[in-house]
Amino acid sequence: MLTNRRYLVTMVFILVLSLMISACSSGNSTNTANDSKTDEAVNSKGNEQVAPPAEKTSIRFSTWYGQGDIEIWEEVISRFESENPNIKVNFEPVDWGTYWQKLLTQLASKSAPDVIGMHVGLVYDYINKDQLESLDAYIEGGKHQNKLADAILDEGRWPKDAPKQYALPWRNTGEPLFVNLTAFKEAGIEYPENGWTIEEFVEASRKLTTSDRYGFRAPLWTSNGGLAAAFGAEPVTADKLQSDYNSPEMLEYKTFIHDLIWNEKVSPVPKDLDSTIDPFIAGKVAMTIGGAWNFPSYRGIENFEWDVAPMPSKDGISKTRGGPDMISVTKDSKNKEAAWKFMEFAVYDQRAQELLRSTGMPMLNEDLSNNELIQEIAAQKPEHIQVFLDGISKDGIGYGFSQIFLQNQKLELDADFLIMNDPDADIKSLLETLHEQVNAEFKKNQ
Amino acid sequence: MSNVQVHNTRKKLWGSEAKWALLLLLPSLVGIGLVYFSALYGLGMSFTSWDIVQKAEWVGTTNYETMIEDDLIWKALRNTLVYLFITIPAKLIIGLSIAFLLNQKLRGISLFRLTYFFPTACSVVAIAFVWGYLYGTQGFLNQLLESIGLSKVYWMDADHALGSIAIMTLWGSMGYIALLFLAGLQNIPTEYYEASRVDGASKFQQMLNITLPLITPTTFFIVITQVIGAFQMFGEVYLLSGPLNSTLMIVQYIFNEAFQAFRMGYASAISYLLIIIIFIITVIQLKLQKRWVNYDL
Repeated sequence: MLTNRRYLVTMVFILVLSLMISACSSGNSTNTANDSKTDEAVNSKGNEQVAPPAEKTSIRFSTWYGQGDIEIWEEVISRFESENPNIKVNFEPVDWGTYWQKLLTQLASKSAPDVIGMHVGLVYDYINKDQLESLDAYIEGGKHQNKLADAILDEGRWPKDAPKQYALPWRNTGEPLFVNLTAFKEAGIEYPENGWTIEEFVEASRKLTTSDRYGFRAPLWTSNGGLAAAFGAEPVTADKLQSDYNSPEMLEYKTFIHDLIWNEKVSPVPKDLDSTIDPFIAGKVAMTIGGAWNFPSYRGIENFEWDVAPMPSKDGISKTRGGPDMISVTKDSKNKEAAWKFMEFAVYDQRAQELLRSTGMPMLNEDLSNNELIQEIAAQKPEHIQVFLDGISKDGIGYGFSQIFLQNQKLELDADFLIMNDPDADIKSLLETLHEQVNAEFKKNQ
Repeated sequence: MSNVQVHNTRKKLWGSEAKWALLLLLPSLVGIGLVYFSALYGLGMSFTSWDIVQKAEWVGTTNYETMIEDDLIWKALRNTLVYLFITIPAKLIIGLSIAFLLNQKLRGISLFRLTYFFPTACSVVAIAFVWGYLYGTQGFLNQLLESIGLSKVYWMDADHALGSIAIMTLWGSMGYIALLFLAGLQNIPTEYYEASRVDGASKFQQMLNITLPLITPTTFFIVITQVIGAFQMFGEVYLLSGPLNSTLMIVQYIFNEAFQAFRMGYASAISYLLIIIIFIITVIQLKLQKRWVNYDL
């Protein structure tokens, strides 16, 4: 009898323990306030009426990161928490490669963070799957109107015929043309004017090429954006639903890059470059197209002077690959009010923006028109930051932004490997194959 | 013992010991239950189209039919088999050679054993990171080749990447294989060698007729675990992959389909293909072992 009782007690203990463990394993953020009530309140009111949580609460924030981003976000969070002592932000940075896998798994299991980093090329897919909270209730008629250009806000709106705001930018960024000014001076080349031609660019590449340095590095994936746009080439059609790799413009562009490598010999064969070394920092190439997120590491270059320059063009208008990095509130967030407060701080507050813009460029209208600020950034390099600002704010373009952004990336990199590493590559045929592969991916995603 | 006594004894056992046994086995049963539940759930999933967010849709055998026309599956299988045929013989030969060397009675032999075993204790991430530097176009290995007048090798291009990864995994697992062989060697009774020496057997004859036959159980264990390991290889090729799917392995392809493209149904179907392949190969190995594995010491 005693044994049976002990057995029963033990079983009950195990059951209770299991329930406790499963209850504790939920990844959702905690909120001591009445969540549903506050959400209703927020949705029924405009931005002006959003009140800070009365009780102590916490939210989770996750995003991918580049060099320096983690430290910057930690400081932003610290400033936010000192301003909002009732809201604790738990930061969960994840590397780019893992971030999207982890995020979708978290969203599916309803354990996603409250605020998430969102990429301009991928946002549509998340909206279509109803995973992001509409921000219209927070921003409509609020105090933040006209703080951001409509073009940059438009990147977080969907669908295009009846748009709602699902994501807001936290920094504007892009991929400018970096130039080694010291090499330019040695080669007797003037800093290029806005709208310089493809022919002038090739000529400069020839002059910059020496026995131990190439003039230009062939770009990869989204870095192609600005230069490809000069040829009118885009990976996907305007509706972002089909491949455009078999267009004559893309063939002309890829042939141009191939010629730089094999005919002009002003660009290194990609497989000769060591993936662990940045050839621009190492002085192996004098011009390269790369992310503005490289600014902090490039500021450490001591061997030569560098700057950004306008992208060469065919029609006199330099185009630059640009677009905001964004943040969103997840649909299943239990703490939307606090999430919005944090988001509002990161996007609109100068105490956050003065940190976040250091790895990209200013995005608030008041900053863009602040000459003093632009000069301040220019003093830290790149000197011609205004060229980059104009490039992406006036003639910014995307590259491969669609629902299959990540799959498309791998397919184009593979095709480029075959095209750029082979002097006799059948570029037309390889682009046709790429076109079919990308369309097959679109079809699978339907 | 009468029937009544037997019945009472059973009742008594069931009343106390069996319940405790069941209780103590409960964690293991839960663990095993989860494995079978996942396997059966995966089987069900393989007949659906599911992106983990929206509701799964029953598609019958479509995923299995798609596999037949999917070139990447066959490429991944081919890569896996090539990797297997490169690494298994190399692991056996080099591992056994090292084990012979480590089986000597030398001063400080424990230090040598520790040194050879050290890579096994390293994380695959650290190993891939270091070898990534070694394999760089301007990396250590190419600098070495160029310093002695040889031309550089594109270690990680489409033609060489699989071989380069095979070398890396060979290096990483060699200590473990050698350790297993060493245990096998030390298990052979010394009397066999003494008797054969009296009969005039040479060292080579001793190795051929005593050592190799008597370590066949160890060899069999290594072959079977390494073959399964090769089919399940993921970390190395995920961290240090070659272009054009040249290092795509079957588990990596399952991962890509499941967690990059979020085609869970299709990934589950490929998982079942993998299970069937491993099952068939293991059954063949178990059948063949009767012909060459010697368990009599």
